[in-house]
Amino acid sequence: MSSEYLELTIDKFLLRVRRGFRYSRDHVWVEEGPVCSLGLTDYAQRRGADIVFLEYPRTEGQILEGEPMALYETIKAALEVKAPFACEVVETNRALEGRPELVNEDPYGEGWIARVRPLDPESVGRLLSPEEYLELMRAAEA
Amino acid sequence: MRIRPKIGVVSCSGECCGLGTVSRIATRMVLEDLKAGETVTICLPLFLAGDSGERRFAREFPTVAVEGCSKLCATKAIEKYSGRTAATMDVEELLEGWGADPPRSRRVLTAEEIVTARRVAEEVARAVGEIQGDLHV
Amino acid sequence: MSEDTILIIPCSGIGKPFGTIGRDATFRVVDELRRGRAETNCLSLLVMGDEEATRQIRGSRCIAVDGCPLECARKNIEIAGGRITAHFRVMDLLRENRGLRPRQVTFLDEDGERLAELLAQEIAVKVDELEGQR
Repeated sequence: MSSEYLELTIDKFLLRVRRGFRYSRDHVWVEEGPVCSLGLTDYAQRRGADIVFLEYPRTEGQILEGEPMALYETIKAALEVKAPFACEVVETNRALEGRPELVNEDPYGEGWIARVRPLDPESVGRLLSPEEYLELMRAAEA
Repeated sequence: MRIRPKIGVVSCSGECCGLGTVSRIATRMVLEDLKAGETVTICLPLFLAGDSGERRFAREFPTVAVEGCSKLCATKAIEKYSGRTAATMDVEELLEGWGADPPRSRRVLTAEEIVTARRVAEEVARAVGEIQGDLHV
Repeated sequence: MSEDTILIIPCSGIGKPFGTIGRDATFRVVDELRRGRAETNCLSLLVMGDEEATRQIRGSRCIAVDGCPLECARKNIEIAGGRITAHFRVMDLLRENRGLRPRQVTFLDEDGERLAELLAQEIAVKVDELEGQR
């Protein structure tokens, strides 16, 4: 087991959950801070398949919990990255405009989706821990 | 207790002739239909390029190689990087045994050639079943 | 094998439609559109060190046709010692043709066929360019 990640093997896929982050039930990871980085988990990018397009419905202003922060398309479906809590968008990842595949290649690093300021600073702490998210993944695949 | 891990099925990449296309289609038929939910494909190009997930799976779980011809690329690759395959199907030999001609085109199979691919898939599925039977604890 | 040979190597990835599309496009070029002017060979033969295949790849100008950003064809050609003179990715073509949604892997659906046709045309143009550079 890596020191940086919790890991779960399903068939030939090694799915990673970054330690130190928090997680929503909609498979969004959050790096806590006054401004939080967030993105899709390894599990979400793997299930969704290769991302061909990614767009931001809004690049500034407030977004409510559950509203789409980003819309992405794979050949399987059109999907949403849902806001894990009510927040204000500070920055979107411009690199994804030309290379949305960064989300697949490096979901916890270069594939970050947005940087946001939570409207309620305590909302991040209410998200799932890495261990809880791992269990959520395990239950989904059982 | 019955243990039924997924079995890896790896097709040769087979660009050089229609038999490679038959191998590929037969492998997909096993994955999608005949042994759906019980098999996983090992993507040979990804395996060769060094993907650790593909190589680890082939090390830890049984694999069936589906080869277009006697060069046995998939079998040799698996043995080189992961370990022995549990079974190898030689499509060229199978077709010769059935008196079936190899496909005329490597891009598009005729309806008759698709039926032949299905027969190959059934042989692969039989091999998968035997491996699963051997694992019965 | 002379350096005039143009060798088109698809990834043939079996897990995604992109692999089938790249493979189909390659066959369209070498068997139909530019028959006799470009060739292909098994990626695995090249990487596993088959003597004839190794001679072929070292004496050719290679066009790598990858399905997705994993770029297995490009990587494997490099491992085998080949010289890549052009590189195509099916996913890039999909971005230029947003209305197409190829979903089938085993047998291409209508959108997959269309994308394979478009890709084959682009590869054929590249073959013409490379021939002109001889």
